[in-house]
Amino acid sequence: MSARTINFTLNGQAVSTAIEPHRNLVELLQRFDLFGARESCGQGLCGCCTVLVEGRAVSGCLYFAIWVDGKAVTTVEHLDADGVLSNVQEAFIACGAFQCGFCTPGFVLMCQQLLKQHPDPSDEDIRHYLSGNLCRCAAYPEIVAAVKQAAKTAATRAGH
Amino acid sequence: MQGTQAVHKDDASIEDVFASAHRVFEHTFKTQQCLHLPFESHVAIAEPGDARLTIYTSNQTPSFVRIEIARLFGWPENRVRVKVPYLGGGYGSKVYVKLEALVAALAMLARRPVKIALTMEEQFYMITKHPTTFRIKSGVDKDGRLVARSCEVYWNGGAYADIGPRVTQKSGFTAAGPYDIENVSIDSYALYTNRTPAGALRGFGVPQLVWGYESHTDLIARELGVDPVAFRRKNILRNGRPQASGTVLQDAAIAEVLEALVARICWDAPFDRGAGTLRRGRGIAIGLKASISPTTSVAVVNVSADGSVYLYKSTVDMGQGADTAFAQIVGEILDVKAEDVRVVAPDTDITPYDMGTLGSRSLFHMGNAVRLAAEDARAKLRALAAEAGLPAGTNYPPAEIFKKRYGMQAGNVIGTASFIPKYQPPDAQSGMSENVTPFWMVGGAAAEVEVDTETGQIRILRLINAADCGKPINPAVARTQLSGASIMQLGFTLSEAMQLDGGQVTNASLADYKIPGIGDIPPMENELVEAEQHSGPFGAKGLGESGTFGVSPAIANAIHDAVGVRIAELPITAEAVLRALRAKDGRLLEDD
Repeated sequence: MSARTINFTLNGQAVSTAIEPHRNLVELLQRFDLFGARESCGQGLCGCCTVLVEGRAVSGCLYFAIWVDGKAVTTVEHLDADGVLSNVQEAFIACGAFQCGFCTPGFVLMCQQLLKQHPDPSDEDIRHYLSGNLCRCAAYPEIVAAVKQAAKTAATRAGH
Repeated sequence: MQGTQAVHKDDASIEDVFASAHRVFEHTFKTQQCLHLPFESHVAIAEPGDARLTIYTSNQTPSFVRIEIARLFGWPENRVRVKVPYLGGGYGSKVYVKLEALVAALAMLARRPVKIALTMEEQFYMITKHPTTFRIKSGVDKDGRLVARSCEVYWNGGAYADIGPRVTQKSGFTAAGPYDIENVSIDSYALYTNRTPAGALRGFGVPQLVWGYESHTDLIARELGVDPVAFRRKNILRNGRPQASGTVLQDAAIAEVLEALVARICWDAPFDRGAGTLRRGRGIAIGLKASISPTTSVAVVNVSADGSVYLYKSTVDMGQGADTAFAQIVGEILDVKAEDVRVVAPDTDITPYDMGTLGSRSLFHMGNAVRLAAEDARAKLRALAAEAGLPAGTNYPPAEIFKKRYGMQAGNVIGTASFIPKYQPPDAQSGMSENVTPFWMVGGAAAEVEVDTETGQIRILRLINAADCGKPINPAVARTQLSGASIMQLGFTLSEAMQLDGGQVTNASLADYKIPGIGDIPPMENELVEAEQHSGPFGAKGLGESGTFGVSPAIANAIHDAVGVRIAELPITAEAVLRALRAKDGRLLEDD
């Protein structure tokens, strides 16, 4: 299939590239040397390929690359663009909320979205938002703790 | 069929003991085929060079890969370089050679770099966990003491051996469980069948055995009308007593793990058994594992002229925190901060030999090698200080020693050590050995469940995990290992099962093969039972698998306690429970 030129904002930068219409978003990001979004199950079930498009979490393995034409894409690599880890990233480290780390970028991005919409999430909110992210090492209890800690630090940061 | 391990403490007389026992119990337990499913599927790249080959691979055994690929080409080891970055999960699936020989051959033919990356679906045809059939028979005397036990375990290893025979042998040693039994007979068989091969999955076969012997133990206690905990207390194997293989138990906190579970679940306190169609029950299970022996680990510690430290080792960090623990060990001995120790990723051109990252062996084996290598470096630093004319017994920073000795920031001190524990191979006839393992692993679980008698649905109200962790090097990491292993086993207990039709897998995707998600995690408590592994680094021992041991039988025992039915085959689905409930009531489901 012939490539089509797309223009989009990638982690705050305007970019342009030509890509075949059957390529998915994970493959597109790899061309920009971004490997934080990983394809694992290939069915949109594990969340390892989570990317934010217009601020909304999508499964990069099921999302056609050409769909980002004209849109803003944020990957996990952008969260510490100002040299400071996000409060979610800090909380994941503090709570030991990962083991092998393969699924972690997806969890972190989904948690960013969760906390944006529920600054003080209940256990039920957390389970609901993270039900589409799987962790084979099963760091789930630590991930729940990290979300709560991130919510707390976000509230503290906002209070200053 | 390939018989691989037999342990017979007193073979000739065991039938006589059964014949004269007060009661004899015999049961069969089965486990299903399931798999590791790391989210980073197997992936390897081979890059041909000038009469040599570099392989980048997601593998738990880099040294083994180098040796095997070199052997295939008839090359010396130093013409094959194997590099392994952090793994996206392993759990035993990336042990031995997997894709490496294939990419190596293709790269040599194509004279170009070749990469193979498996899809999730292809993982279902790569390596799995052994389905097993475990026939277990026990004789009990009038006092409720186990006097004889025979174990017959069949391991469905699939079409290729892989590490299956080793699983069959090593787990076979402890098939009779953590009990003190005078007469034991164990036969453990590795079978070839037409299925996907089976290997080691977080427990090296032991979870399948604990499933059998702890379900069996619970049934015996119930039949005898004895409290299952009291029965275990009476028969438990204690340090200083010979285990079934003949090896004397040492530094194994079996009783302590049992008591930690009993205390946490308040076994002796009154308990709400539910009412109507929602019934509650509790169960406990404990397991014992021998480590993989004899195996070798080599470590190199390099102190630079500014005092900064490198550690070279071929242990693969796949999320278990090995790099962290080793950096702590080096830091402790050389008096530097753990975060200032640069742990070099496995690269066989640089990092020395290690048998492999498997069977919870790394913290003990490599941990000891790292400790000895750091001590070697410390001794050499002291010698260098003496050469430089510095007074003995003074704690000069390494940077000053180098500067004084060489007149500028120059030089290195290299500490190195190999570690291989003592081992006595089992006798070919009796299977007995005085030293079958360098350390013992102990883990257990207690569960409180609620069963819906109308649907067979099970809800886990509490899951308590406890394990003997020796003296933990990093308690936070140890706790997550215990928790993660338990949740993984929870999947193998309740939902995970490969469905096969004529040898083909019909549910080879995450859509159809159900692993635990965040909504499936019950209220959990994890207890590290501190003990001292005297031969371990700073008293520590391996822990990565211990959390898997007790989960499945603890849940089955709790279900029996709740509704009086016994599930003898994994996974324990709502359908299986409902069928058992209906069978008990004499109202079989239509297709039963």
